This record gives sequence, C-alpha cells and structure tokens, in this order.
Amino acid sequence: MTLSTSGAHTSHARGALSSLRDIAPMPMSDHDLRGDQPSLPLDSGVADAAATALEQGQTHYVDVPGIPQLREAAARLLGAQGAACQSANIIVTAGLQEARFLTLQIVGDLAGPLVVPNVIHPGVELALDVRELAVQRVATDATRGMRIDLASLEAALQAGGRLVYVEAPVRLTGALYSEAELRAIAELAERFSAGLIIDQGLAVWADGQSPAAVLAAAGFNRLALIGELVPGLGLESWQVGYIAADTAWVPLMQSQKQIHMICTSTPSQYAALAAMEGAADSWAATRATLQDRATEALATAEVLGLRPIAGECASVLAIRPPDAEQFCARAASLGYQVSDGAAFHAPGTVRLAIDTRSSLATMLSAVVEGRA
Amino acid sequence: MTATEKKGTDLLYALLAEARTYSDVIVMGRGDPDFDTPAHIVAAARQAMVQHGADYSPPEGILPLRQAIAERVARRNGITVDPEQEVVVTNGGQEALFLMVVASVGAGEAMLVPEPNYNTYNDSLRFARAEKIGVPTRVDQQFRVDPEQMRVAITPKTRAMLLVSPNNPSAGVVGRADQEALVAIAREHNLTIIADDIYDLFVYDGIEHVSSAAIPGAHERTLTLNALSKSFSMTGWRIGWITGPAHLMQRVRKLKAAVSGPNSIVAQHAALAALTSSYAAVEMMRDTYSKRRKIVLDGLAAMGIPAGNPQGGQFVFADISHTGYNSIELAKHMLTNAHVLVYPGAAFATGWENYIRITFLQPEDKLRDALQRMQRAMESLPARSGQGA
Repeated sequence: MTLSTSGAHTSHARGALSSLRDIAPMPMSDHDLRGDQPSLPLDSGVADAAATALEQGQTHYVDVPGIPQLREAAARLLGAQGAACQSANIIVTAGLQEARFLTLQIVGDLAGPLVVPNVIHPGVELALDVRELAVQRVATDATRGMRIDLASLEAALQAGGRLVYVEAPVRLTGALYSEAELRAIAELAERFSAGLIIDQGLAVWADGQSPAAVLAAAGFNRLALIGELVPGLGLESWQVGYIAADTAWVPLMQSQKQIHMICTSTPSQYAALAAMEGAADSWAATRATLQDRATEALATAEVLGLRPIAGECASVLAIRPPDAEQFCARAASLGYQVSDGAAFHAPGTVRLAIDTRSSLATMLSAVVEGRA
Repeated sequence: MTATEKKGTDLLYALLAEARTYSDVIVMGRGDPDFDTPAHIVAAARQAMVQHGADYSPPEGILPLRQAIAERVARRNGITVDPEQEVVVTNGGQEALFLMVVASVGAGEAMLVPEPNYNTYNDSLRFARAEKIGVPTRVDQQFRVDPEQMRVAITPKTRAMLLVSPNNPSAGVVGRADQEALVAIAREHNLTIIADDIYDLFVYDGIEHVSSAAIPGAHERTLTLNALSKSFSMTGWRIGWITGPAHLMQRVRKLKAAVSGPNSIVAQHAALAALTSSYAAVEMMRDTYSKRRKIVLDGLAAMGIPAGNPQGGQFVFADISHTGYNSIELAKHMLTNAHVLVYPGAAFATGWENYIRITFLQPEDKLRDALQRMQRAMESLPARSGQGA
C-alpha cells in the first residue's frame, strides 16, 4: 500500500506537477497536440446565451451543485447515454479536475482505500496529493492500451482496496474497456463491496456503449461518473465538468464543494446549458471526422515504425517511438507540442491529440523525416 | 435532521433552503450583494467570449489578470508582489481561503483563529485535519484582536495565524498598531499569517484598512486573499486571488492545480475588465452600504438590540442575549414569523450563541420592511429571562 504524505509530495505527484503544463485541457494552437479534448469553434448562439443570462442579472451565487436546469439537462444527457441518474445525482464542477478532486478526496476518504492504475493522468496524482489518503496501485497492461490488469485489480481488492478509479477510455492511449471487461470490473467491485469512480470524459469520441450504460445494465450503483460536461464544443477553457454519483455520496461532495468554491462560475454554466442542445449530433459528426484522421494517423505511424498503441477513442493516438525523447525534441524543433507519456508514468510513450483542424499523419511524417 | 439541529455551514444552508420556501422572504443572511455586476464588466465578458473563449489559461490564471491583481494590491493595499510567481487566481475568495489553509497547516498542526470567525475556516481546517485554536474577541472592545491573547494561545503545534480584517461576522477591524504587534508575534514564533482582506474596500467612519502583508517584515510569511465577489458584486463569477511570497505560493499553485485547475477564461477576462476600469461602481456601493448600515443599526436600536459600532464589512453582529433566546432559536423565529433570514452566531463559532449576523445587502425599502417585521416578531416572542433582561 502506498501512502501519500501531506506537505511532502510523493514521487508520483512530483512527476505530475512537473508535467502539469504539458497536459493542457485544450490545445493552444494547431501545432499543440497536448489537449485532453479536441477543440472546435464555439457556436455563437452558446456565447450569446451565456452573455444574455449575465445581462439579465444572473451574476450572483447559484446553487452549490449547479443551476437546476443544467443538472436536469446533464441527467437527461447521461440518461440518453444509458446511465441511470436523476438531477439529484449531478454536481456541476469547475472542470474535470474539480471532479477528480471531489471524488478522490471526499469519496476516497469515506469509502477507500483507493485503487488507482499505475498509468494515469497527472491530474489524478495531483488530486491524490492534496491530503493523505490510502492508495494502492494496480498494474496496467501495455499490450491492451494501459487498461487495468484484472488479476492485479482482484489482488488489490483482496488486499483491502475499496474504491477503484478507472479511466474509460484510458486518457493516455484512448483504449476503451470492452463491455465484458467493464462487467468484470463491476463484478469484482460487487464481490468486495467496493465502489467505482469512472472518468468517461473521452467516451464521447469512441463508438459503442458508454461505460455508464454498461454499468447501469449490470445494476452497479456504487458509482461516481466524472468527465467534461460538453467536450469538444469550444468550451474547454470555460471549465465545466460533472459528477454523477450515488445518492449516498452526493451530499458529502456537495458539502465540500461549498467549502472550497460555493458554486461553479455562472456564465460557464449557462453556456454549457446552451451547448448541450444538439450536442449529441455535433459529437457524432466530429467523431466521424476524427475517426478518419485517426485511421490515417494510425496507418502512418505503423509505416513510420512509431509503434502506435491502438485505441478505440478517435481523439487521441499514443505511440512508442524507438527514441521517445528524440521524437519529442524533433517535434518541438518543428513547433509541435506533444505529451510525454512519462507524465502518465509511461515513459517511452508519447500522446498525440487528434483534431479536426489538421492532419496528424502529416505531422508524424514531418517529424520522422525531419522536415517542416 | 431539522435545520436547527445542523451546525456551522450546514446550518446556514439549511436556513437558506427554508427561506426559499417563503415567497416574500427578505434575505439578510448570506453575503450576496443585491447589486448585479456592473454593466461594463458584463459587456467585457460578452466580448471576451468571442475573442478569448478558446484561450488557454495556466492553473494560476492568465498573466494579464495576475498583473492587474499585482497592480491592485500595490495601489490599494501597499503589497508588492511579482505577478509571475506571487499571484494565483482562484474560484472566489472561498477557494482562496481553502487553499491558504490547506497550504499552511497539515494534520496535527494548529492555526490561531480570532473568534467569531467565518464558518468556512472551521470547515477547511477540518479538511486539513488540523486544529483550530480559537481566540475569542469581545464586543465591548469592538471585537479587537488582542495581540497578547494571541501570543498566549500559541502552542508547539501552532503553524499559522488567521487575520480577517474587517472580520466576518464581527465587522471588527485590525488597526495598524495591532497589525504590527501581531506580525512581530508571527515572526517570533515562525507562523504563517493568513490574511483575509475580502472586505478591505468596505470600512466606514474614516477607519483605515491595513493589510497584514504591508507591515514591514510580514511579506515573507503572509498569504493574502481577496476577491471581486463583494467589491464588484461578482459573486456568481467566482474570481478571487491569493498573493504571497514565492516560497509559499509554490505550494498554493500546486494545490490550485490539484483542486480545480484553471479558472473559467471568461470569468478571468471579466475580472481583468473590472480591475482595469473605473472603481466608481464600488464607491457607489460602499456609500450605499454605509447608509444602509445606519438604517439597520437604528432599527436594531429601536428593538433594544445592541450591535456595537461595526467598523467594516457588509453586516452587523448583534447581541441578543437580553431576549433569553439563543441565536438559532431567534433566527428560526425570525424566519418562520417574519420571513426574514438572519444568520445565527452559533454557526460561526462556539460561544457566540447570543449573537446574530445581519447583512445589509438589500435595498433600503426592503431593509426597513425587514426591520419592521423583525420588530413585530420580537414583540411576539414569549417572554424569557435573558442575560441582560
């Protein structure tokens, strides 16, 4: 069991911190391939809705868990994806990182010890390091896109782990858990009376059932789903995330949110509300474009000997070039910014965001061939 | 659990929820100014949505805003900071408060807290698994933070000292001589000073506001918070900040990244517009609050409720001990019978059960209506023998 120490940062957290600026929530330019989510232009109607709300006096504190109409819309959206939730299960957060913090620190303190994959987004390490928590590391399988190794998970639960953190899809590689794998995770959790925190923020960019739908179908409720609320719709820098959680966990997280923030910024909430209208159609169209780009980039990476890690999520491609450090340096020399897998505890791996604006395949060729 | 069985922050939120069930309720509890955000800031936000809505922000905030904050604290507070290393933008004063506490004290450590105190300090200390060392202040001393009382309360576990000026809920202000003495004690005992300046622009009757960090020798050990919520009536936007020396801000910056990442880019640009344009709206609001404060004090005096002479803030802290009712009972009575929400002192710290906090963040006509309702409700209270009766 690994214990983090308050004030004196663990090596995991030191790594996370040093790489903090390498993992932007959204790209800064066409050559910035570090984004967690693809960036698309913001619909002018969304901005107008947010501005109009402000002009109508919506500049004051709102309810801690979010404005009621946004919580209802979020519940409907997740419901349409197969999740079993009501608006009372929803907490609107100031981006994904606050959702990580609340679930890991508050539910983790209540229902832990935590079980965390040994390859994970650096934001998770940061959230774990805020205050001492009991954390067990569980192995991931490099041959399966860094998904959790189920035998290792069972061992961690046998050793006392009671709250499992899962990225589905995996943030580094875009690997999606199959329905069978998710059901197996739920069955293990059920057997050990453990809970699950599922970061499903990238699921919108993968075909197939959402993790929420699979877990709902399996009847598993000891659960907190987290993610970006309206990914890829131009609101990445507006910072709107969500938690959809078991009713037993919501009051504790709501109480903590009141303590450290009171509420999520109101213009962001009104913008998210407007953006959710028609979001599903927009995501489907973007996903189709991204899938074309991803297929092209994957083939190019294979040809160039960059050893791509195939993932089902169309917004990200992870590669294991023969010399990752040299690849990153050459990318930088051509003006590209990429995510070093070391920040996820996967040295030797490089994560590249796939966007609709430019061809990742072209970038890979340019870097390998050393041409601008 | 009923509202009145709850404690601290949960009690206040339970009362707020109950207040919403009355269509004619007048809220004089929560610290949310009745003014909307000034129009020029909203207009700037609309423009920023289009021009900067997709811009990247680091967790500590965009540099132009940090520069504007550095300029603001230099001009208004006499605090000199490097915007690159010594400013972090937060989700309101609330996040700033939380981050400062967690950055300064850990499990088993302790912080000196003058009482009564804003309830969230208790909650944040609980999160940090740290201990609160309460140092009571006295109404007959205008809630002065007595440096000698603070000194004798220090234990080997004490790592930090909280100084909120003007204080919430007492409205007491820490004067320059006391600030100097408190800074000297902090230096002597190697304590971090957590300075809460959120009401710095709201002091009355010619009283000077002195920031702890502006006292010579204080900067190296002082984290200072402020926000735009109260001053520019921007509570919903969630914009605040922490300033302090680079060696302490390093930990604050890490915590900010861990707790919530960057603030909303739109809110940051709105804040930039607020800080770099006219303060006329703030001046107007302060003058208005000054008049309202007098209305509330006069109304309470007519009810025989002493409230001292509050020096700052946006509220008064009134002594109800003569009624024979404790603050939760009286707040509940006011809410049920007068449909007026006031906050019980018991929610702020142990030992303040005989006080209520009343904000003056309502228009004058509503304040007068509320005070008349309160007076009728007081008259309908069954007699009990109070301490002062």
